[in-house]
Amino acid sequence: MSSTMDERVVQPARRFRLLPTMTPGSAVWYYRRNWLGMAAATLIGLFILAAILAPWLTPFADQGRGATNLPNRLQSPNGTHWFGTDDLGRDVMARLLFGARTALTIAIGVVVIAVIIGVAVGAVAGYFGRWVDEILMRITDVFLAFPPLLLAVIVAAALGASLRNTIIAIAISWWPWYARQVRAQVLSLRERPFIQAEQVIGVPTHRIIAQHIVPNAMSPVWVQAASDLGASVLTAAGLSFVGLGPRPPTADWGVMIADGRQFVLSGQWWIAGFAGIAITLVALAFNLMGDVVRDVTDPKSRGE
Amino acid sequence: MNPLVEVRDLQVAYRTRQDGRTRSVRVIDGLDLDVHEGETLAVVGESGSGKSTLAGSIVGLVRPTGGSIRFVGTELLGAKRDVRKTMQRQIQLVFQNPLLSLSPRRRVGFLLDEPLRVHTGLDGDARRARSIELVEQFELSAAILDRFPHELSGGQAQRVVLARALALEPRLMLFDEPTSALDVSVQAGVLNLLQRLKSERYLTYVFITHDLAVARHLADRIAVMRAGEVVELATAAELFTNPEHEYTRALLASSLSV
Amino acid sequence: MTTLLEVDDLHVTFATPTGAVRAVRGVTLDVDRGEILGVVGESGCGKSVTFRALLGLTPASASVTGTARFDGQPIDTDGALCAHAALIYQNPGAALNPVFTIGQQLAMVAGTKDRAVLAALLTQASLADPERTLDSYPHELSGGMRQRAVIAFALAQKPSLLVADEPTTALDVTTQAQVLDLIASLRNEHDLTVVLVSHDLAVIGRLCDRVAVLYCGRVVELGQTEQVLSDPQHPYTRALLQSTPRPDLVGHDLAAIPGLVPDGRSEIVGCSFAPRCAQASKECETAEPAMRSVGDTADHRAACIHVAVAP
Repeated sequence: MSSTMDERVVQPARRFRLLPTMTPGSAVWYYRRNWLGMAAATLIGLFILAAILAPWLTPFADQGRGATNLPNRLQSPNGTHWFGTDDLGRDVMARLLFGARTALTIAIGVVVIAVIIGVAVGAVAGYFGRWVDEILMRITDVFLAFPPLLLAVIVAAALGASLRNTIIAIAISWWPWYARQVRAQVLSLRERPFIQAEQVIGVPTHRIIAQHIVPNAMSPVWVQAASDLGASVLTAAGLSFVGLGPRPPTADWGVMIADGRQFVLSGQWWIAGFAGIAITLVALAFNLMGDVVRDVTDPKSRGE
Repeated sequence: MNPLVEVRDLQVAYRTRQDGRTRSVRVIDGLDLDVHEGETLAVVGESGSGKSTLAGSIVGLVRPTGGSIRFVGTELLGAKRDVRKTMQRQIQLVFQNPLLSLSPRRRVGFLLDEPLRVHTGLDGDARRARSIELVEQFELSAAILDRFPHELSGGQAQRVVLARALALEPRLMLFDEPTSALDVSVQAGVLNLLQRLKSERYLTYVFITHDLAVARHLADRIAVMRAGEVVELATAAELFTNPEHEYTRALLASSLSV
Repeated sequence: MTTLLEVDDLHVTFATPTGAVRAVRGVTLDVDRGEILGVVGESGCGKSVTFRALLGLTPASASVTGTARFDGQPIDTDGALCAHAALIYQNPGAALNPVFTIGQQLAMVAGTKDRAVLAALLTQASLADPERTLDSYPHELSGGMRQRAVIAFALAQKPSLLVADEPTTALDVTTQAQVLDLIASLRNEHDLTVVLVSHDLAVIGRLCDRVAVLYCGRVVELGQTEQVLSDPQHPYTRALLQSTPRPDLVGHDLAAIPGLVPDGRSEIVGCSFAPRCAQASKECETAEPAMRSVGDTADHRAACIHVAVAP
């Protein structure tokens, strides 16, 4: 008696797969359950679009890039300049949009670098154990001993203020968290039957780590990365505020707050104000997004 | 004629830290066992008896602290890497829970491709063709190659696991509780399949199980393990009609049958 | 009143991203006072979900409909049973909090810190050396001891009904027998009614007075255990028995059931077993068969239109 077992597979294969268990249909289901997270996702979408399309979204693109217009300085929000102008006469909205580009660049740069370093270190330490683990974890501990902001400040100060160095500085202070997370996951994955099955088959170690261990160790990484994107905007703003961020004329929200600070008390709030609102909203949105990402990547929290 | 596998004085111990002191726990302490080519040997015992560790030692997942395991005369313990690699093709292990034995984020096609890629010199297309051949031999359709493990039923997953293990055409197959995680009706199909495969390909089976009914159904000989050693070894018929060791008798007495 | 628990047309549906999963599709059964009722079925048949729903242990997103009566009084189907029943689980390790000793946890359940009372509970659950066990942490106990501790927790709630959900699946063969004997003696000595949920026909056969066979969220056969196991009437029950390894089947192929259990998301019209049944006919696919009395005894029922009806 042969069984036609394959005819009715539990779920049909789907063409479009963001992740093995996510489809457009279930995305709608998530929206209904977690509107706050979905609203955050929308906000982030807008942020990304603003960053990418900045030059086309404002008539003052050149000012966004740095061109000054001194006669128009410090205008309060009006018909021509919806968010007013700054102390150099540049349209604040344009500066915000181009600042979004800077922020996005930093956010992606930091997270990508930190994740790559962290995952590599964590996976190798976790899988091989023993002295490899000891050495790598002690190195990680050295980095973790510094308060992250302080470390970023030190590195930025040492390298000099620039967009690239801001990214490096923050990434250097954050990779240890990813390493720790990944190592913890790997330690438990290492003992799982499917990994042992790979070992029994004889798959080489580097393949096991790259193809089987790392993909399954990544779920806490995605969650952390999602909220780190927001945190990096905040941290970068902090660095810029003290002068260790991207140099002018690059538009940067932190710099806008630093420059605009002196005008707030005399009633010209819009330079620092809008930049501050932008940073807050974006950081908040990414933070909420972290929860959504966790729901999507973790089958257990969905109650499956 | 020499046995396929000769285990002599096997010792497996590991160190644990308990109450501040480092202790050595002996999981297997001086075990001797032979496996004859072409037979089905069931290793029966309760948890903690060391039966899974025995299987792990033969297959290379566990590193014994002493003794010897010979496969077709070649010593496995401490063997060089290339010897190990050749042996890997010949000895395969199937785990208890098929759904947990397949890498969750990879498709079945990828997972079947892997053993072929590692051990054979076939190119991509040839491997794909062989994968399709394999799944069809296991009564699965080629469409299953695009599925993820969590999309499979327990029975399908077990067949994929078997297909993977048999892709390398091993001589010896070890099974660690292969049907415990399956429903009875699915288990029946898998057991039938295993019997058929064995006779078609002239394989040798070592079955680790706690289920005496399954052991009796499949095995030529049964080894009863307890606390790291074999307490009784007999043909299936003899064991059930005339158990010698008191532990065997206790096991038989508490096992239930419908 | 001999019937302790009556469940009538219970439906439990879970909401998931890929659609509604109908785990229980109309379970109707009754548990008599003082009996041990076995509920048997394979994975996905809804046997655990039925009782977890009645005990209020399903997620809020699950919808539970149907009626239930306990001791003649109607009760809510979403947890009211908790007041009268206690649950023991498949995995005792998971049911015990690893950071508290057994004594501390038992005190929380029993509502008293009196060691004599707690030790007595442990002794009732057949634990030797109760004093030492009270001070032990769960990880220091063996699987069998943990399960007995969980049973003691259940007894501390002074239940009229004990629901045992696969209580021996995770245990060794020798320990299994001991725990089952314990449950039987509890029924005898403490006037406890027991519902034993299991996929293992051998366990059911050993312990239960009556058995209900579940398939796809519905009861397909119900009757005295001896009757059902020796003279199964429903094709599914027969197939299940024939696929279990038995001494007389050594060397032969076991009868595997073709096809797959229907997906929980699908609508089932007619008999849920029809697609896999050798005896299925056209009528099987049109209407869900009702339970009808079969065989020799009055209380043996099966939901199949092809069985011989009792005179």
